[in-house]
Amino acid sequence: MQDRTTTRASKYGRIVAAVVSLLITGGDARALEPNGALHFPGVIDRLTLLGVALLLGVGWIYLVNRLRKKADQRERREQGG
Amino acid sequence: MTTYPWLSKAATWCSDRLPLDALRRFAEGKSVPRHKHSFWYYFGGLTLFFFSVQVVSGILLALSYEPSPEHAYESVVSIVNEQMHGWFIRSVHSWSANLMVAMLFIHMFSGFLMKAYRRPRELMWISGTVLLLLVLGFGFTGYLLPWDTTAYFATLIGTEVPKSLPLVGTWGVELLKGGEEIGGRTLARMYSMHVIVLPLITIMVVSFHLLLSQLSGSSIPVGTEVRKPPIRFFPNFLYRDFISWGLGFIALVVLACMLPWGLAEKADPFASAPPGIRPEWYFWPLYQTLKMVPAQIFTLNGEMLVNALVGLLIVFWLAVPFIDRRSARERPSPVFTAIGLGAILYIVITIGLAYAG
Repeated sequence: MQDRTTTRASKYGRIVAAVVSLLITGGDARALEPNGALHFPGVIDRLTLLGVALLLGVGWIYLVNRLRKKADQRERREQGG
Repeated sequence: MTTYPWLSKAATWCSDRLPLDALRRFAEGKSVPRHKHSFWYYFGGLTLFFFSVQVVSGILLALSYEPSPEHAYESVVSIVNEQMHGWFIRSVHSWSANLMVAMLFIHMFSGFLMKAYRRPRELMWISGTVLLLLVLGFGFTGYLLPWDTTAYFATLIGTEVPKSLPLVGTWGVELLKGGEEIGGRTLARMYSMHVIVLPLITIMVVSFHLLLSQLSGSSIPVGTEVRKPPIRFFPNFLYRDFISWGLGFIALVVLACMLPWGLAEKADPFASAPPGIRPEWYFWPLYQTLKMVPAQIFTLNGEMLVNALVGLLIVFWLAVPFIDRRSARERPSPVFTAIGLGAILYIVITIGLAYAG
């Protein structure tokens, strides 16, 4: 049991580490353009913007999904009746 | 009785002046079939979503972009470095263009394999193919705009492609470039095509395509068993479409924030082309084919043969609904399924080869 929990924790740990390193190195790698003409904001600024955008996206999906469920229930009622 | 009386008043005000009820009744009357291939219906909506993102982000970029060889590059650098969230808007524009093309390819090939082009949807297929060509036109004309080395030399090679065509070749190159060299006139032409001509035509064709999709509805693939009752387009399917748009939005912002779109050095027409110059990935099948075909096949020019083949393929693709007679009679047509799968395989292999090479 403990082994399985440890394996799972290690698996999730690896995924989180991979995502974090992708976010950081992916951002920094792109900041170093061939001629250095472009200056992108730092990773923290970009993650903040991403966080706000993700909140908007997830909020949108949550809201629309609630409306969809209600519409589906209404349609089922109408078809049943 | 509604919770928001102001909303009810606003709705009444609008419906007194616009035929909203008739529109709602029409949309409610349309239903979307549910079967094991229904998943593929969402890709048309996703293509439309990314196109809308293109329009909005493109308008914002156009506010600061200067289409001249002297200032184009500097204006792009200024958008990224100085304008508020300019880097983000530019990245969103570039990434959504790529995602739009990807969604369009998936939408087109899923439609092809489901034989969605069969009667009465022939015009929907034709308008969709025209939209594909327009989108490729957007990609080609937009590529030069940053005026960096990659864009400059890729456009130089791209504009030379029609040259081998008999009769119209030289004229076509002149038309694209506006002169002997890639210069200010080329940039002006590409810019005006990208922001005026192509958007105007595209909006008209998209409207026509959407109108047809509302009138004819979604097609059910030949031989597919439909066990569940269809759902109403409005609002049930539209809500599902909006959820897929939300997922598309998340994918887009993750890409734009984590992999902001770069820029090579400023184009120098007097410098030699740097190694590894390639067009955008969606032109790689053509690019790779041109690379693989020998310069001379018997007595014919290899490039001219490829160009003629591409022309024939476009005509074939437009005529598919009229050639595939078995699908028109609601019978399976394995030959066209094989053609579709073969085309997908060819695209994947050539893109892979171009990426590796």
